[in-house]
Amino acid sequence: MAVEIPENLTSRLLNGERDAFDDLVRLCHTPVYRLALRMLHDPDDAQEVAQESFLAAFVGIGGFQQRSNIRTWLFSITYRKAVDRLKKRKEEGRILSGVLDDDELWKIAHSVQDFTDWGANPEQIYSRNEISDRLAKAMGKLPAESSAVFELRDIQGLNSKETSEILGINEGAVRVRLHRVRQILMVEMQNLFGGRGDRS
Amino acid sequence: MMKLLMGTHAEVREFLIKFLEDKLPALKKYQFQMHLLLCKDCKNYLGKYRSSIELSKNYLDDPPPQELVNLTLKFIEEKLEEKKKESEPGPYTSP
Repeated sequence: MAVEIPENLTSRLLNGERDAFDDLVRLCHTPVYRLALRMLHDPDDAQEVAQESFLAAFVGIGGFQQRSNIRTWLFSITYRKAVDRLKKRKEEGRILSGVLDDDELWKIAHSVQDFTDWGANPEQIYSRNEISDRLAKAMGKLPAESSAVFELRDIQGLNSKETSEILGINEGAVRVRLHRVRQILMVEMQNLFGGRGDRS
Repeated sequence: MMKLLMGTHAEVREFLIKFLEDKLPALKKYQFQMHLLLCKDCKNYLGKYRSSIELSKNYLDDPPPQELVNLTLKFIEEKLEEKKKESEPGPYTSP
């Protein structure tokens, strides 16, 4: 469920009230951190990006134009900071292995044609942690931009328009990326729950 | 004629997201619904697609540790304190 920022908090922030900023951190830390984590797959990097994002928002609040809402603005700062962090990693030669290109993802997404019964309760076969780990591992194969789309749309409940504003891409591109992530996760779940006994 | 009435398997999969967002034009929506009525495979696919969205939310939605919020508040406080000190004039020294 998308976090809602009360209108009076926005006006308090724009008036430069220091306490308002602490309220914003308390309200939005989880979604900001999670967006960074989804893109970076590293809790320490995600926390640093979250901290830098809030600091940048605090310093830059005077430049907030109110063309979007505070939440969208804050997420776009976080998204850009996470992208910068990925570029820095690349420069330093610290690239996460296993990220697949579009062709490889397309092949995975279309690798299963027949979806069998998944059973009523997947946790009768696997533990919650096992399922979460497998899905997180599948997410790790996705490019950061696609992971961000998934986090914002399916986990945090933003719509395609808001997501497109945050990422700076059009709504059609948001839908294409979201569809691809959902397909990848669906294939992973089919492998897990579809009676294949695939524990790889 | 059948294709015009109910669309194709490929179209159904292509327009899934727009269908779920209720953003399909009326004719496409009608074709989509007709196709689902008559095609067991696509109906099954849509069911799994919906299930996987729900399961993803369930299994990829663990909240981060609460102490991270306090760490962030402390970080900002420290950074603002640093900035404040930087902007303060240094001790007076006579020319």
